[in-house]
Amino acid sequence: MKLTVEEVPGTETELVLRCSDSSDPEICGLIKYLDGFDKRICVHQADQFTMLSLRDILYCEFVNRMVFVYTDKDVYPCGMSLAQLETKYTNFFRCSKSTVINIGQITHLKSELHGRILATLSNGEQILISRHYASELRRRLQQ
Amino acid sequence: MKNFKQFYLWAMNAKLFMGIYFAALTLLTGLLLVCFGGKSIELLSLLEILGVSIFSAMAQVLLLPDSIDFMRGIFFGRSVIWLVLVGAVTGIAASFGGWFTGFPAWCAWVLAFAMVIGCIAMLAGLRFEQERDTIHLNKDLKTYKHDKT
Repeated sequence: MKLTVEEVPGTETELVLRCSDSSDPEICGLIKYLDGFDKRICVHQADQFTMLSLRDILYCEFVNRMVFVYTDKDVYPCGMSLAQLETKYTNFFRCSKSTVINIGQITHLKSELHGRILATLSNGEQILISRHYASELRRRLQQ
Repeated sequence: MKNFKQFYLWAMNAKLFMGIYFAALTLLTGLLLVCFGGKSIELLSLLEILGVSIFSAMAQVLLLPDSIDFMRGIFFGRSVIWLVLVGAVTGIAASFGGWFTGFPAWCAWVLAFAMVIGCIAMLAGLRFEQERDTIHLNKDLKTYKHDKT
């Protein structure tokens, strides 16, 4: 495989894969990797850095001046702030002052009294979204 | 200042309900009186109706505040307590306040019953609204996930 990097100042970064067969497993793997490249979050785990796919993240919570990323099985400390997470990843939604939820992991929403919403995640965990943030979630879902 | 603002908002919320209950009680009392040939409600009775309305609204915002997360059982229990209080206070105030002087004594308890039914209808309305909203929310969620994830 030939690798060419062409530097053109002032242009948007673009990746073009030129190949004879796009169904080639090697090319497919490369496309899959590149596709998910920007959809990963770097977390710490036992003095090592791990790249977590967005699809695996349920929600992120700010506890004791640290952001923790929750997956189905584990909890990882993360170097990013909640504001950075919700700005960078469109699937993330601020559902309280200290929590950012992954909309892609919500399996069911239930309207509660006084305009609040109860969100059920794919692992069965439930998060209550207050009226203030619930109205923002409604707007986001209707966009 | 923050506490004062919170209290002010709380009182505003209660005042809104108080207005609704005052209108409902006045209308129901008037209807009952008209049914038995009455033509007017006394000013003192109106003031008592206002008092009952204030009590009903205060009991509602205290027992079912919007800042507390209710589990289904707790909400049901508190709703029953609120309904019993509203019915009892309306019936007692109507009986001893002389709202139906010269008319059958049971009119007071018919009024109380009608008031409780009205409150149950309001709670049921909230429930139906929630169910409809839940359907819309999940429909929007499904569309969002299909389009953007």
